[in-house]
Amino acid sequence: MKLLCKDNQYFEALADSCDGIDLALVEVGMEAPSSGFDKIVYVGDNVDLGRVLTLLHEVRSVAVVQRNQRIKNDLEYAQRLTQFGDQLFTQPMAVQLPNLEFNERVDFTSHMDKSKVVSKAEELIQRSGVQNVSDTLRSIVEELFMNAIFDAPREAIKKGWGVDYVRGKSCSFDFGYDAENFCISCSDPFGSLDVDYLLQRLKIVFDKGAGQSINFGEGGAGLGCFILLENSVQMTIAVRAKKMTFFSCLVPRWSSRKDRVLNSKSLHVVRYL
Amino acid sequence: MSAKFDLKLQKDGDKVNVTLSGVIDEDIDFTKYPIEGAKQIQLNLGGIKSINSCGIREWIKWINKAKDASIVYDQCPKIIVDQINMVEGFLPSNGRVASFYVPYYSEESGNEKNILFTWGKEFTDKGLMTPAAVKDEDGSEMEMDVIEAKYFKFLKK
Repeated sequence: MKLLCKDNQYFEALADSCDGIDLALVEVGMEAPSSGFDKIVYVGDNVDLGRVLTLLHEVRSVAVVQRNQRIKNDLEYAQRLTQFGDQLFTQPMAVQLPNLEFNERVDFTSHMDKSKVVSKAEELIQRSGVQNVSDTLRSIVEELFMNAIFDAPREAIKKGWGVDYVRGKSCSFDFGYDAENFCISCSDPFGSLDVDYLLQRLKIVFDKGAGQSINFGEGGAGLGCFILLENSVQMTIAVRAKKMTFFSCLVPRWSSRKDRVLNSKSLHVVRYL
Repeated sequence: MSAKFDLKLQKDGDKVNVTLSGVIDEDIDFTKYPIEGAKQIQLNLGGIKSINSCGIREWIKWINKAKDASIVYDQCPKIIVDQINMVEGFLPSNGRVASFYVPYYSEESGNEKNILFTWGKEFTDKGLMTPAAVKDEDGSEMEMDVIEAKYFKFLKK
């Protein structure tokens, strides 16, 4: 692992455990190495969302993590994704929350299953004993559900793939928490997401404002992923084209709403061609 | 969190009172609730449980049909205040907020309480007059659980 940060010594222990992984850890603002490293993780202080999105446009860039109280977990997660990213599609909670306390999966195939999914989210909140995350987690579930049920198949059809290849397959929600965080993940069997288009779209919403960016025509409103980012402190996007798209959002479990808003956001992207 | 949506619309001359509850999502059909031609529209939003991105879009399309009306949003829950702040046009230029909820949180107990801020009491055109002290049922002090500059941004418009 190559370290190009203002406080390299902080990351040296992590670097030792990443031997053999072609990962460069680069301070936001420094130039990433032009060769020799397949993947880049950017690190910065209070990096604003617009900058996070711009940095992730770079094809080798796999994450932007914030230098805050979650940085150690964030970097270890980035490392796990580099080695075991494909496990997001099979065991998402094991990759995201290694010290899992609770995990449940809900499969769904149509819009009719929405109430089933929402009920599971409610159970998660009840079981966790946390009061002040209800609307946050509900917003996340709403947008992830619509992505999987409406946006993903629509994109597959637009690409000319048809949807026969997914006949009989279902989407999945995974709900989980550990001592510190809730995690809600959603995967669909279409794999139709264009990550770079999504990042560009998010940047437009960030730059112009949500009100100026709404799509009033056919299809989705174009705000869903922005709402996901607004409601989480870490988001993961993974795509295996024509196989699966995966979204995941992390929400701190024992924190005030104010602290959640103050947390600058980390974003991880896994691209499989 | 029931998935059901309910809207009661009462007309009184050219004034319309609307009470909404439940979830505003991709299933919403606001065309069933015409508000064109009204001169005053009072919307009681206290019963809204959630609104997603499709619901936001449909709301804006609907509320824009009453461009000539004086519109009042009453008892806005936090999720509605968040949209007012995040999405330009969610509160139209001919609209104002008469009351809205502010979450308070106790670090000690983890309890949350929503306090209603009403125009003329907790806020006016001159600014905020926040309650002196808020306590939970156990007597623990609670603090306003929002970033004030962000949450009250709409009051400055």
